[in-house]
Amino acid sequence: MDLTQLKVLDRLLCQNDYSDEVFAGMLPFVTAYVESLPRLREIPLGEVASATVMLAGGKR
Amino acid sequence: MNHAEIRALSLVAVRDAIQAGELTSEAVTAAAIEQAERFDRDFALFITFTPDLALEKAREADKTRAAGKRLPPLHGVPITVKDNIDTAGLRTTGGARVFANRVPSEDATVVQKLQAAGAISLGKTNLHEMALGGTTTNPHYGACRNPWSRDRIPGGSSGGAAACESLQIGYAALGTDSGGSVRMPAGLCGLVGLKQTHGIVSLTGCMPTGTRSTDHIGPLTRSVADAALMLSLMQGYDSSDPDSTPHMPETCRPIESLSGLKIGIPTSYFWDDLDDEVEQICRRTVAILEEAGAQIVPVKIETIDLLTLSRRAGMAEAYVFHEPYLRDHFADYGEDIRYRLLAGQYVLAADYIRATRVRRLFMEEVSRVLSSVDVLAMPTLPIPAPPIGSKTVVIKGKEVQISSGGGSTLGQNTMPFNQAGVPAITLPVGCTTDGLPVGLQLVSGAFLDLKLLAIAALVEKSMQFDTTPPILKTLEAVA
Repeated sequence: MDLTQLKVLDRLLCQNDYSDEVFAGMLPFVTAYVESLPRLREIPLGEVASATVMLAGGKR
Repeated sequence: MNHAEIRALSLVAVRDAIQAGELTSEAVTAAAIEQAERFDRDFALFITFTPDLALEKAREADKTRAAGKRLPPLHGVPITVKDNIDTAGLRTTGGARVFANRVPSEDATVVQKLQAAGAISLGKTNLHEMALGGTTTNPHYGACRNPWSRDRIPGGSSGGAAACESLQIGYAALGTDSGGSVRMPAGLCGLVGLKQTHGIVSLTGCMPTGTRSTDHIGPLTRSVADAALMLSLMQGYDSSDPDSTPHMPETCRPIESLSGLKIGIPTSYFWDDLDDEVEQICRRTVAILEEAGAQIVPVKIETIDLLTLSRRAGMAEAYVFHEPYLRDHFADYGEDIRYRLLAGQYVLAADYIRATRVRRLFMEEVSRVLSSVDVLAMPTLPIPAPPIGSKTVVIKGKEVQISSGGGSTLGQNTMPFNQAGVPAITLPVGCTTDGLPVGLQLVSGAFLDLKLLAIAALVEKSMQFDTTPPILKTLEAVA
């Protein structure tokens, strides 16, 4: 992802009016998220329950 | 007893001495204040230091004792409280400039419990801004230093808590842990740090990191017995906390020796990509435990790689908490966290749901693995304390980020057990050739906190680590 793509993403989803400096600051973090997605989306998770149903500890 | 001797006592020992009338709370508190005044300015320990209030409470405690009244279990014992845990009438900043003037009207439940137990707060300790990082190089309240090497970080986010406890300022420190923020600084400062089973200690009055289901309030202490005492006083169901559970830790039969205990050693991830000395010290510790009769069992946790993927999508939760403050006070956030938080708004709902389901898979696998062993063991951190201000470290020839959030090197071994909700403890097991402490993390099944503490106490006994940093030994020698 580059700065232009991030700005397009923002325009579509959030319509923020950030400065270039703010977009540039966010870019490494958004890029890391985007790069993690192909592998995350490959995992078959349709039948798996959410962790928010069984809270941590598992005895609720 | 002189002040240095008083300060060096354990929590259990000072409690017993005050209860027996061998020490006054005023003397104990004055000794702690003397040490805080010696180090606070240079080490950036406190955000709000309250010596006068502490001394006033100590004198009241001594009057109560003199009147022959029944004394609560921590009567007159000074402790410290991390500055993201609410204290009524006393500002609680979360280490953030945006909350610099935030004064809660009520104490956190844990603070109420410890006050009822007789503990006295010395003040509110420094932390990584909003507990969102592992260095405690705080842009607003100062770069906290490591007592074992003053040019290095103490870790975080409970860095002020760890530095105070290491410098013997108070007898226990309250910290918080959402990805390792108790265990990381405890590990880097040669202390014991406990993250108990999620939900058995109330989070009411704890400023959220944004991920409530991974937040914990936990103690940093100088011994496992002290951590056990703190947990016994902090735990309990709290109907005001939606994450609180009525289930409490299961009772544990006495464990007399390591003989026959099964210690699981993960075959991947947790023992990969370690600093050479950290690995050597932790492997030597495991060998010592094996010699003492423990059975070492290799275990595989296959979903750990998936969990690290899902962490990115978790950014959305922190963004939701901070969004209104980011909108109105963006410049008040440190550069370290402002952009990371903003990035959370682009996480898609479907990916967030995937992340929670991956977490479920991980929780279930960890639970299965932990049912086959008594504890898991691994280095608490992959590296010893790095220098203040350094951004990267080289591990096995590869340059990696020290603390980038959502995927930092510092928290790689601690974060998974916040996600799993199971109890984990770090205890010091050695020092590098540079004199930097190294911690071993032990992990047990959910609600087996007492068993975990019992096993940790046996490991502690085997390792005989002296938690006193060299700077205090030098001071004593000069005195």
